[in-house]
Amino acid sequence: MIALTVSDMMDADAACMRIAELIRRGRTLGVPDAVCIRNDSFTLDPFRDMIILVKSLWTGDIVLESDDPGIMAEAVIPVMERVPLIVGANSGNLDHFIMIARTFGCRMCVSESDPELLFDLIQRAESEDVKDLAIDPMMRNMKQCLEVCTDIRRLSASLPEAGHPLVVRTWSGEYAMSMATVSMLVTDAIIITDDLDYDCCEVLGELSESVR
Amino acid sequence: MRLPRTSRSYTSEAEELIVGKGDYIIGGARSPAFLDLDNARHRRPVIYGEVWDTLDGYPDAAASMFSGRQTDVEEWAVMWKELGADGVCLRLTGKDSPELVKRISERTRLPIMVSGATEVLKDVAGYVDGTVLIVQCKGIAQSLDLADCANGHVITVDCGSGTPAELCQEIQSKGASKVIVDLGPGIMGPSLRGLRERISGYRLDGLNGVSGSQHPVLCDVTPSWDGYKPDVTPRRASMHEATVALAAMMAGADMLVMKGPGAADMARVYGEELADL
Repeated sequence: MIALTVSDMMDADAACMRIAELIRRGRTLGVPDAVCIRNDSFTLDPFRDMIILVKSLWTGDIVLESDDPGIMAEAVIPVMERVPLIVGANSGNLDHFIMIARTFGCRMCVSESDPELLFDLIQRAESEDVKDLAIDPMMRNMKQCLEVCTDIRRLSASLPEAGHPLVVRTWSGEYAMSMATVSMLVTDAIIITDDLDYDCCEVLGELSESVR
Repeated sequence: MRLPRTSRSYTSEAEELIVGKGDYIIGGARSPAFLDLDNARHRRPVIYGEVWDTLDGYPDAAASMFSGRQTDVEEWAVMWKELGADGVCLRLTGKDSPELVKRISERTRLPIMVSGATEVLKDVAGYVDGTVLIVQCKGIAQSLDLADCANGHVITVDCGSGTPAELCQEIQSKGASKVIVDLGPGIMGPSLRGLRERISGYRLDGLNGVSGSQHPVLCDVTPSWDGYKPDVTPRRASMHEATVALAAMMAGADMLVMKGPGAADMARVYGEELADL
């Protein structure tokens, strides 16, 4: 899955144009195949409004990103039947996120840069019966992406907690594309980017078809 | 949670080849590409820039990136040096090729790879001394033809669908002491997955001590330009080529041949970051 991000700070007209552009690219290039709605406003109403707007236009996968479980718990309701991936769970809010994932049947991503703590959190979520998990080791560059993705892929042979899909968060532009490329070449990661231009989407779409 | 160690160690290392005037090394891997987890050698793949002695059929989008210097083959080679390439790949068609190669070697001081018709390559290999060339062969028949007149230069073994270890042994038994394996062209498309599997499989065989599998690996990614329409933008073509190069180097290629200067620069930066240089 490759997701491009829509901020909840965008006005509705700009958001509609952006989503239309993402739909066009998704149809012609295969990228993106998911939209991530990010809670840049740190408040509920704009986040929920943007989720409702995206849901009405976008038929592919949906990712919701906020580390405030209070906001996430309410924002997820309009889109719960689409089984979104919720991003924002960490060591400080895991119990709340587990409750949201269980209540609404969402997929849940757990983010943590310390690998030992990360798998403790994953183990806890599994023990609370959250089935559809994703792992975000918070990789920050290409080198880290190669090393960490390889390490976790190898760990998965002996550690079931490491068998969940990896999430790679990147920013925008050509470096984001190279991060996405590395993660795609090492493992079948869920890639969430802030933004990629048309050429980057085209290259990633072709690469995905070539190597996956 | 205490996590098990995932580091791996290997019984063998890839061969190192010294090329050019003795100041460039290709190969020497002791882990899968770039993996510090497995004690990688901090060395990036070398990147050779492609130069033709004729512009017939050369893509306009690529030519536009050389500021007119592509019209003079020697100037074109010097430009690659200025751009930071580790070597020049000369595609030769002319009869004055041996002298041309020698002049470019003297002007750039870079290692040179040559490709062309068998007779041209034989002339070049026999004439040029003072620098170790890489003679790029197309097809196993050309590798066999060149093997007994390598004159100390490196011969590439175009493995096609053959077994690289066996083909390399055959070439070496005919007199070529130094070889680089070519496991196929780098092209975006369905073949890329198979190419990556062949390169990484060959690299792992070498690290695990399989005889004949320790030679450096070449990947020519210039064919990634072949599928474009004439109106392709240089940026788009360069991004494709750089991405194919990244895919090849992450699989374990030790040497890349590239067409576009922007793509070569991107690939060099990728290699330096992944090799932690």
